[in-house]
Amino acid sequence: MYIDAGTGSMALQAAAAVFFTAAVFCRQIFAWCRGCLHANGTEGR
Amino acid sequence: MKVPVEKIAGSFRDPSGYVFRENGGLFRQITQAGQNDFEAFINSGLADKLLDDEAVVPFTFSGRKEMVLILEELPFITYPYEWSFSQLRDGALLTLEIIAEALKRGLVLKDASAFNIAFRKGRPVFIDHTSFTVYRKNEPWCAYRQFIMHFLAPLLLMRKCDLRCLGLFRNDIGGIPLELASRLLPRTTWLSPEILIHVHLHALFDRHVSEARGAARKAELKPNQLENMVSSLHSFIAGMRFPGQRTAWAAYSGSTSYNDESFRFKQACVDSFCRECAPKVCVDLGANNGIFSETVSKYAAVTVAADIDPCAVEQLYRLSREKCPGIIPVLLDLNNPSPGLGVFNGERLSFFDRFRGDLVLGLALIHHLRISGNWSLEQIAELFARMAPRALTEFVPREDPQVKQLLRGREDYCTDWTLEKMCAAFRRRFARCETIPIPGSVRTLIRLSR
Repeated sequence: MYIDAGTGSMALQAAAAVFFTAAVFCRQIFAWCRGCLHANGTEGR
Repeated sequence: MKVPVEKIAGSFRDPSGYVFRENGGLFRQITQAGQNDFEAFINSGLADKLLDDEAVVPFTFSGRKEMVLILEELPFITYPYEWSFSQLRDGALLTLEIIAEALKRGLVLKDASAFNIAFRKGRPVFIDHTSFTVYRKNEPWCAYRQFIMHFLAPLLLMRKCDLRCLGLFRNDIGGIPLELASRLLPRTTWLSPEILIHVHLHALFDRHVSEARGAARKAELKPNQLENMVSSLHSFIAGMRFPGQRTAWAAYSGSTSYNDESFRFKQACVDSFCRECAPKVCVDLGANNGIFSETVSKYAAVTVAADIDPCAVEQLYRLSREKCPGIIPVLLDLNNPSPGLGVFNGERLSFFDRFRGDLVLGLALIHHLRISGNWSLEQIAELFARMAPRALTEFVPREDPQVKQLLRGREDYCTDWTLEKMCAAFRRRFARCETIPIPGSVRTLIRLSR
């Protein structure tokens, strides 16, 4: 279907690209830290 | 080219194909304009992957010379303004999962309309097989704005303002305008990076960045950046929980007006009537928490469970996901049901134009229509007669505490609210009208058949 992509919308995606990359990176770091904490927490059991 | 018998009005916007009905079957014609994209969808393996995952409506090739697909017909289509919060959220997540899968295979979704989602076996399913196109490197996602207007903006408004904000969708089937969403959301949402970017800044960019500035020409987004955007949207939406608003019917249960024995009797009557009717498609009007929809769904292939309350529809959706995949929840106000919308009011059909069923349940419902809605007895009888040849309803007399409450302060109102007069109205529409008093209660079940 033809839709109006919106010029502003296309420009926003380009402008916010760094944010999306940073968000994914932070989430990966967070998941990694949580994994480490979980591993340490269960080690002594 | 063979002229289709009946072109489906809702699919006229797409130059790559349209849906039509012929000899009782449902088909999709792929036009010349959509042939390359559709071949890419098939040859990339995306179609097989999505079919295996039950993420798209099943189809087979018709074997005709022109590219025509035979589609599995869904028994009842609901529209986004008739969904619960979680239905819209799951529809959004499915759309994002599909685009992530498409990007891996060099394709992208060229539109992200919530109307491309339907519900099948308690799960969202993508219904538009011609929404895929070849991804052009470094190009931003052309359907991003539509995705925000159709999914994220209404979800945020429901979450941050009020569940009833979904009704805005009915005013604008093109999605909730970004500027409106930005204005309605609380100021604190400017502090959330995701909402700031996807809604508030998006609305500002939409308003102030124009073609004249050449922004579109310059806008580039690397493939991994697009994947990151999709992934970040997915995790943001997946983290959104049902707001759990306090509504009039949220804590109501169909059993509250009964003692155990009466309730068991009523349930046994519903069970035996449904077994006897063996309906294919049934509608439960005023389904509430779905206790009777669950009973019907043992016998009916599809049970459309309708309720006016967004919290009740949320419960019905959970029931359909977890236990009864035959249940299709729908948000419906019988005093103001979904009308025909879009071009010539034919693009999105009204609730009554869509529903064709064998059985209607309307338990603990008609006293609300008569007393609160001021419906006439004739209109109540017509409601059931219009929807299906058989019906089961319940008469709640003036002596019942629920009706006393509705009539408080206006005891002389609705003097025609008697079992005899209600049955007389039903008999003008149905050949058979049987009454079954519920022991231990003042209420009466009414079985109707044409």
